[in-house]
Amino acid sequence: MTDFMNKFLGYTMHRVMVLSLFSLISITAFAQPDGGKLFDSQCKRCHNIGEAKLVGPGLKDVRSRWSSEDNLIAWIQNSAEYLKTGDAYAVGLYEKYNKSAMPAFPTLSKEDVVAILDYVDAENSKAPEVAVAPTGTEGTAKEEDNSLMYVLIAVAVILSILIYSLYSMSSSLITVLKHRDGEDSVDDRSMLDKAEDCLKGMGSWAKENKKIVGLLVTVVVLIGLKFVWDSLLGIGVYTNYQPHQPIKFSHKIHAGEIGIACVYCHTGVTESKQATIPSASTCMNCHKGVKEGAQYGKVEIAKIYASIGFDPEKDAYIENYNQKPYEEMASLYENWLGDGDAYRQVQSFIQKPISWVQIHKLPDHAYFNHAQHYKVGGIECETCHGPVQEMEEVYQYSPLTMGWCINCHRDTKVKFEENPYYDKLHDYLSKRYKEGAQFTVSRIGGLECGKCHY
Amino acid sequence: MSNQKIYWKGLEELHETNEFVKNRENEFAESLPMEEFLGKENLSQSKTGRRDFLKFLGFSVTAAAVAACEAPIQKALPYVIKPENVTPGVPNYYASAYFDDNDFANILVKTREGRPIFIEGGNPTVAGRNGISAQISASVLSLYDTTRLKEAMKKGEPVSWSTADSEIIDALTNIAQSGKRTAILTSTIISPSTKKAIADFSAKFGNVDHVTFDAISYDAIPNAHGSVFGKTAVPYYRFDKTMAVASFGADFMGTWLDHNAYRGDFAKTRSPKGEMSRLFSFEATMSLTGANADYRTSVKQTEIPHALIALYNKLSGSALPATKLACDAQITKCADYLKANKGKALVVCGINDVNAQIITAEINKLLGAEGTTMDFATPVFTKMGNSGAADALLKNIASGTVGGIILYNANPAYNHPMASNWKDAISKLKLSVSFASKMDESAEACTYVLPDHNYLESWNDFNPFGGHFAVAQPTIHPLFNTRQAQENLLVWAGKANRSDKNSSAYREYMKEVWKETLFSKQTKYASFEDFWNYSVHDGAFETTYSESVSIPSEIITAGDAAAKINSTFKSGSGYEVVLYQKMGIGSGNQANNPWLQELPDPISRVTWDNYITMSPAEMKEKGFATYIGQEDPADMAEISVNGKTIKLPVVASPGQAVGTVGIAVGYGRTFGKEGEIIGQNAFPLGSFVNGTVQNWTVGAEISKTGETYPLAATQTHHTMMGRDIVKETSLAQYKENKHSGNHKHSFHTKIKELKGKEVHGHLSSDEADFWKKFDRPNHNWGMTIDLNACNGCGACVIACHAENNVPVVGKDEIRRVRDMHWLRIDRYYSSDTNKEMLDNATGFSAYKKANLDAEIPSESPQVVFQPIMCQHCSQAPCETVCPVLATTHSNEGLNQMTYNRCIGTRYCANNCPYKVRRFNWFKYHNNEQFDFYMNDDLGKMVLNPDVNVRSRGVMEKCSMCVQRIQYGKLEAKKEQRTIKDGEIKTACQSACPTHAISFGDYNDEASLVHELRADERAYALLEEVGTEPNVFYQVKVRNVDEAYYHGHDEAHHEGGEHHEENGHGGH
Repeated sequence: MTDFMNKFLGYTMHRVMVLSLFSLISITAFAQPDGGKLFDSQCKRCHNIGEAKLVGPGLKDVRSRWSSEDNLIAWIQNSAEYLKTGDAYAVGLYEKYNKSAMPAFPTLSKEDVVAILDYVDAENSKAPEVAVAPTGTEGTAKEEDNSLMYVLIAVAVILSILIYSLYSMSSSLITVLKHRDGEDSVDDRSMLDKAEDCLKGMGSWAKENKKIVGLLVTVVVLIGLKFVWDSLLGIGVYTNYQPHQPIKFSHKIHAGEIGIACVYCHTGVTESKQATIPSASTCMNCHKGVKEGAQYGKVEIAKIYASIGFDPEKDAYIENYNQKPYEEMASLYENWLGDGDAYRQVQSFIQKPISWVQIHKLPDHAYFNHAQHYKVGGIECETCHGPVQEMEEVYQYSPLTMGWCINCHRDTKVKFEENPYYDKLHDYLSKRYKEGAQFTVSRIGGLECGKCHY
Repeated sequence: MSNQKIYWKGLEELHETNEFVKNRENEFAESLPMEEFLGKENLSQSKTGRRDFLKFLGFSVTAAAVAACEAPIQKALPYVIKPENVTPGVPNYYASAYFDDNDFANILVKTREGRPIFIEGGNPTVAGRNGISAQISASVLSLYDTTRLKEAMKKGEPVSWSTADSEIIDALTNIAQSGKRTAILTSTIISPSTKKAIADFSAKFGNVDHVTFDAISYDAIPNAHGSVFGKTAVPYYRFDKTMAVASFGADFMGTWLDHNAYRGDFAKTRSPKGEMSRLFSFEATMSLTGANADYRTSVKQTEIPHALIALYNKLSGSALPATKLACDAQITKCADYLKANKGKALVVCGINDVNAQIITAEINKLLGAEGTTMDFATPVFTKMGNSGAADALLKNIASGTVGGIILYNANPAYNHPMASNWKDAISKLKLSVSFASKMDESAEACTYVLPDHNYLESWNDFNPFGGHFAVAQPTIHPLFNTRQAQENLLVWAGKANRSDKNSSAYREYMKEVWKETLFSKQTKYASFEDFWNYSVHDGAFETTYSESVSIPSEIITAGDAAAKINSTFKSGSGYEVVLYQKMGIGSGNQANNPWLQELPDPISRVTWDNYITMSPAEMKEKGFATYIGQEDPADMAEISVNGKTIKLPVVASPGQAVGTVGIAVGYGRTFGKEGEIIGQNAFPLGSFVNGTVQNWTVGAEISKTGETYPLAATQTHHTMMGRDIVKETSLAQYKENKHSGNHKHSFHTKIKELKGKEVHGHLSSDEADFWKKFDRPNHNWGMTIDLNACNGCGACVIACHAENNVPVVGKDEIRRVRDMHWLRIDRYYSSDTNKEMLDNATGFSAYKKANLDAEIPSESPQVVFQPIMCQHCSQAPCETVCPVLATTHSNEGLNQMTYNRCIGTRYCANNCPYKVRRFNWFKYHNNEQFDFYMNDDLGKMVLNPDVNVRSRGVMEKCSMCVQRIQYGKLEAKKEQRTIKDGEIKTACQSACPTHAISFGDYNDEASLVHELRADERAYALLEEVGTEPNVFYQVKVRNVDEAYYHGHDEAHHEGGEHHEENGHGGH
């Protein structure tokens, strides 16, 4: 008995020690602040990692711009407090950016800030990456489709050349024969007559070769049906649909060059079935400061101001905007833009919500939830929406057909790890099937009708 | 010569009569009613030829193809400034409160993108009235009612609010100067702030009388309690503390008094596990309470007070005079049981007569109910109407002492016994104002109609019972240019200024009232803002109530009361009319709510009408048809009483006391959409006795008019056809054998061994099953329904409507058995099954007939309710017959219905043994033929955006609220945790006031449903068919002394002769 107890205790002690060792390791691993994550969550919305100016200055070489790193850290942690020291560079910066203070970050420790700065330096020292265009299955499928068409056209061309050469051969043979028989060698018939002859010839040839004609007709009909079938399948599929939007919002600039995370604007993606189009108030987080764009100047940004009621001259929101007389507001924006053409574009936005054109439209009677895919499934936005960061104007990247959904559910492995919701299910599946630890969405019922249709 | 035969269908064909020859060429015997459905234009007059038709066909096919290639441009409008708490696609819940003169409940309002779509009962933060009724559940649709008034009206013409204000203030001042009175007529006001506003208004003009009148009066109860207990109040009847209840015409489970509390409370005492209460019911018209009673006795309405005296005599030993009744034995039985449960007994009486209530109170005093089952510490304030004062007001208007009237939540021209007098009186007044949000009978007579907000658009506070202050908050901006009623009074009293419809004047006023009166009653919050915000957030503020003693000037003794009863309650000649409220329509406030109209009455199962209920025996005597159905219309009768005559169809109601008829009030409204105005107003048939409005009148004459009237009833069968659909047993039998009444079917077999196990002649349906079992790797959703707790109230049916976008089909379609209810409540009548009768029957047909005969409802039948929805069979018969795989099975145990796959063969519905599948015979939305609410943009706002609106030609059925399941699962996944039991609630479950419906995961061994499924009482419906449902029912246990004879069940237990030999076993 005691023997057993000893063994048991020993075993337990061993386990405890191993476990605590593990937890120590994990704690130390955890203690290292992740500069990248911190940058994304805290700094990215106002600062570019490179040189470009966003709401605040670009962060490239920021360390060298400051007199000492300690000062820089103090400034980042609480800029208002640091300004009181009267540091010339800091004051200059404050003046340069229209006296809009950088918010305090009391949650960032010194180590955190250092990690962020390290991350910034590391990112800038990297060679600029070439964005690799994701090659989806759809892309290749499209290629095949086109090549099939080219092949068919080529076959048709070759066939017609063949028919033509056969016909001209036979007609020259006939001419030769006629010539030998001493008939008039000069064919002085009109082209029309010749064509008629040609058709007659073909007709009589067809009569004699019914089998070949039948075969040809069948082939043509089959090819035709294939085309009809393919085009029917394409009904309601709007891949590459790229409507013009009321505001020339460039995802290329915002998501690509500036690198704002998708979630920053499309906040619903973590919570809701809809990723949600950001409200004008979300735009204002940055555009309160950024009043002029590099590409389109003031016009496009003025549309946001006109919608929400922001006075760019006074740098302030207009109280009771929607109750104000339209003319008064119109003249305000006209004056600011100082350009009739530009104003005319903005006109229809005054005191109105922005009516974007919906691009991705799910087929009727289907349910889709962004939170399930993004937050739970860990699917990247780009998987379905494509290289949005390269799109000047967004287009529909994926076909959004049921087959496309199903194929992905067949291939995608479920992220069972770290989600206790799946524990029981994972245990069950591991015992039930011999696929190892990884299971596709289809294995857990991802192909069932009722998951998307109700 | 060959023998040539001729075939003929009838003599007409054989003899080739002229008519036959004429009709022979016609394809149909009579023209089909195509036009009725295809549109209003007369088809036969249109000039569309065959060629045109082909052209149209060709054009539309091309157009459709072209249109399909072009992406339709859809706009997406985000918020300009996103509200902090609103995420599109995620619902928000707000605590609020519901009160109309009929119901009070603490509620949670579910909103999606700022629009209320579902009312949930049960606000977890406060201990209020957390059960809801069908009417409260349906009230969300009344918000989107197109017949709501959209602006202020003067004599039927729109008027600006400021003009109305100044004109009314002038008129009020004039009336005050001329020395006349102004009356404010309301239903019961339980809002402290509204009371204060009325007081402020009265103070300003100095000549104002506030009169309250409720459509359904209860004013005799507090008066009687004043005499007997010295407390002029309506106590909180603690049904949850009772073990013996006797109800004398009080439908406390249905519509009587504070029924939202009683339903849930009483259900707590009905579990057979511990001690179980016994309910006696003495009533004239079969009510929900009577239907759920252990012992129900039919008595005439005028006999009820006499029965009470008899009960009083038996309990007290005194000998007060009373008419000797036929049901004396039942009264004795009731008296004995009550006496044995002293301190845990309660008697309630539904007659609004002070003398009958005095006797009731005296009985309760004898039973020691005061302080135990009658709680005077939290008295109920929801029924404070004074019918005497209303009567006096009517007289004063006639005599000219009243110059003006303001109506708020009051409609005396409809719901007062002297309705027509009210109409005349109001229209003659110099100033008449109504705050009705929809046009009504009284508002029509008023000069000004200043529409109030819907309750979901308003602020309000309620003090429904002692110590409880509920806050109602708006959950949507006002849809129309309406104003909160209280704001009108405040503006006229000079206490507030008008802004627009979004004015917060009343909210600010309310806050002031709360600051002055309630803030000091608590210590939890230091600042008033905190106190206010948390009260709004919680939906209520709870404090203690200080009881006040108030003894009326005139004390009535039991002896006085008995003497008065003997002189007033005389049956006399003719019929007694008993007015009752239906679960759906109630007193008629939401009479044009199509969900409520289509809710089948729990007892008669009739939708869309009111009617005269009569005992079947008497109907046969008088020559009325007792069956109603698609081809069997009801007979019309004319009923005259008190000089008023109305015509209504007659419906057989087993259990109706002979010599009485029942008529539901709330119908016969004159405003609403065409098709939603239905039935006849029965309020004028009420009477005035001893100064209080009564729900009964004697001396009615009923005559058959000879006309017939089609009624739409959803269940016309009155038997179970001898099948074990509903299982019942008695408490004593249950205590002895937990399996009592829950016999599992078995099949005879000649095989000796199965799967290595020895078989002794019988196989259970589980063992006899040869299907492969399916995987349920993660969840196995299931539901259990306790037939003991279910009282058939129908709240679940409406909740299902609201949650799942179940369409309303209208009376005509219901008549064609095309109702769309995903969840129906079957009502079964039964009377005692007789052992001898069954034992003497030989052969299957005789056995069945004996069973059928026994099931024919007698004069006083027992009633069982059984909610039936899709049973989500694991071996679903519907799935195997679908040719297109539109209905399939999920690995979570759900039977899924894929609408876009369905081609409408209806094979599945035919193959469903539970008949729970519903077919869309028409497109019920955007269709003028079904102009209920899915035909207009306003009504469509109530639709749940997470559930499809189904189109014509597809099958649908209960999905077990799969959208809620998916939502709950996602929440758990997002938060990286497992699902908590009870976290996911189906719509019907959330609405059930008695918690009869439980939902959960059978795979979770700690879950409630797992436990309930394993309970001895659990049974699957028609388990012998082998469908393996995921819905389980709990055997109904009645607390009766008589044992149930369970037929073949006992034969099995005793190992005696088996009915298999009678050919009965093969089911």
